[in-house]
Amino acid sequence: MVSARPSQGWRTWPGLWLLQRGNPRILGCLVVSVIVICVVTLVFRFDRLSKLMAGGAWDWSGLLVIFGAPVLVLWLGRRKPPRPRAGKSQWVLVRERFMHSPLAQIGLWFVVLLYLIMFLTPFLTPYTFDLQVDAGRLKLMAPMQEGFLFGSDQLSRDILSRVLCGARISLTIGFVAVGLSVSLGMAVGLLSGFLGGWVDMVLMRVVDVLLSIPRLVLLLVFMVLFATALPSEWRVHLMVAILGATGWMGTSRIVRGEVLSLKSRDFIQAGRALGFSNLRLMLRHVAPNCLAPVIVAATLGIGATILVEASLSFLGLGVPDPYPSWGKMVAEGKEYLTKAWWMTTIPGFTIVFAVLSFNLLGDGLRDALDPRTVLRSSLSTDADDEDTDAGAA
Amino acid sequence: MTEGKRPLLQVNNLKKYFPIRRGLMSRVVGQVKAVDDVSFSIGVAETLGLVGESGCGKTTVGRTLLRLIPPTEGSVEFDGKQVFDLGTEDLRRLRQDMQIIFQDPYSSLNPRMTVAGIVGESLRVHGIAKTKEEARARVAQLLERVGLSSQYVNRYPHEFSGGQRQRIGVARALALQPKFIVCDEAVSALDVSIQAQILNLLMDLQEEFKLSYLFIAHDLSVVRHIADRVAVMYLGEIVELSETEDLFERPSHPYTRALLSAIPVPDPTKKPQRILLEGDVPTPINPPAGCHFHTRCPEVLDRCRIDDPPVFDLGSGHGSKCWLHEGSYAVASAGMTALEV
Repeated sequence: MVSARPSQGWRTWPGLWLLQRGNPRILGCLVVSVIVICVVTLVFRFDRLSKLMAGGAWDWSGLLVIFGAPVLVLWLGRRKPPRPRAGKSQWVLVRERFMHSPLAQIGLWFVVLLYLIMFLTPFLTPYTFDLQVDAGRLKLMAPMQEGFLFGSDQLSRDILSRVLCGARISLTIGFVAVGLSVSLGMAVGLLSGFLGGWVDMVLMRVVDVLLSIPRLVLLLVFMVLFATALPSEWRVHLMVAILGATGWMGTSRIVRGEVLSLKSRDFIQAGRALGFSNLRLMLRHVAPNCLAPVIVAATLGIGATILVEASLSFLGLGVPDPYPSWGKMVAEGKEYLTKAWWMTTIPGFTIVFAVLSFNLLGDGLRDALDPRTVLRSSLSTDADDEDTDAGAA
Repeated sequence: MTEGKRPLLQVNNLKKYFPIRRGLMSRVVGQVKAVDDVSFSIGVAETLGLVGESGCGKTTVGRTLLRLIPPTEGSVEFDGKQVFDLGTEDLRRLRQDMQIIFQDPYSSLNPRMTVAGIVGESLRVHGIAKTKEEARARVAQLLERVGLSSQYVNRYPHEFSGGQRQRIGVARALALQPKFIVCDEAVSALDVSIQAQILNLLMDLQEEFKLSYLFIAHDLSVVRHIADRVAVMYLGEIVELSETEDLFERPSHPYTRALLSAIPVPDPTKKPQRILLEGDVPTPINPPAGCHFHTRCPEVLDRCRIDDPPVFDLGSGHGSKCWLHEGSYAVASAGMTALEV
């Protein structure tokens, strides 16, 4: 019999099951809306952070979120007809394999922790990132001194607050830039591999050319060219755009290779015989099957992008003042290295921590997504997968 | 099963050459003649078996006539329409009538889709099922028809055995209610017991839906079981075509005779008379002059090395492409397509 409380997926989270009960589902809708509003605002409006925290007015994007979130939530929580027993999808199998690797799980939970901290920053920071706590003295405080957990910098700003706010900027830049570059890389790789011929030729030569230009040099040139022409709040957006636009070539190569091997599989031929369009074959049949290496590349790419952002900020071309980012904090601290080791060490350590977490997660995903990874508990399934490989070869 | 009067499918002088490109400018330095002048016809509710050893072009014939790969030359008439002349939209509509079942049940199903998606996607694309529910109901019906439980709609391909997967492949091909199905080695990858099940399923479906099959195989006993007529291919050409029983009783082409002698006989007391062919199949890049088979033929004549033999009409719809028949039989004027039954 159908139980009153559904026991599947995200609806088991505290409060969310309310979405499935009662009509109208006002209470659940309200709870989730508040969460969504908070998350969306905090993630995407980081450049207005100080304004919001000082009680600044909501603008149109805030209103969009306030009205958009309940609609989205109502749509997500709409009643769905019960389905007959579903089999384990490939993704469920991947999750099972992933959960067998302790290192991968450590990586995952660290990444989750990082993003959690990022969402909750306003509640965790003792001061705002640009507040000069003791503006009169401007003294470098060591960690644990006078209430500064991680010390203070040369302008008497709290390092802890700045590191937490920097996490928000660094992680968001990493996430959005990699999202951009992965989408671009997927699109180029799919077109190139699937259509072949001159399209493939042209796109791959473009990739070759772009790959031969060092990324950091390209970034520096663009930042120098455009940074002065743009208001300083837009510099972060510009950086995200450029990081995204210069990081897609590797992904497109990976995707193209996958597409080429998938194209010869019979299910693509079957799709053609059934009269499916190229677009449908690409998006519904080819793309989902080449996601595995892309996910791995993206996860590792976030770590790499955080590092690139750090180098850019270190060189003074990154996030504008007074906003903090980890790389920028390291750069600011380098002059005080002998007097205040904490100014460089603490943000430096967070960079290492974040990149390491992403790399662990990426490695774990790579193993989990590879069907040849054998689990003791599901040997039979994997034996079947081995057969598939032999058959395809 | 009887042969329809008007053929459903008529293949005329089909050729498929794959260019070999080499060097910096991708110059065409040669051609693989995978299918070289093949003609045959298939009637309504008829099964034509197409046999031959690996690499002789059987699969290429099947895929070219479905336009899965572009043809080099020739024409295919299906149900009164010229398949090779159709525009994109007309071709899409025609696809409803012509389907294919693949050899490898592992690579022929999308691993990321459920059975409902695999079988039902075409229903939505072609507008046969207007809603998702309609498609699901039809998929369940199709699954039952091919001998699977309709409970399986939400399962993924990796949860099935080879035979079950092949049934899903059959259900997918049936979804659009085609008139003609190319079975590309549809049972070759399965266990013998499963082969029989799938063959019987295919034959039942043929009776029920008046399907025509082009049954590509290399296993002669399988073909004997299912086919009404059999075409034997060697190096891109059909060398012999005949009614099934006629072919097995009086194989006329030396290659067919060699093939038939290789069928194992389930009787240990009988010493089989094997005709062993010498050497390998010549490369289709540069097939031998004259009769393609002369390099390995045990009954080779001098003439075979120079002149390509025409098709001789051996009566009752039996044609053979060999000089040995010269004198005793007349040359069939239209090749393999118009043999008098």
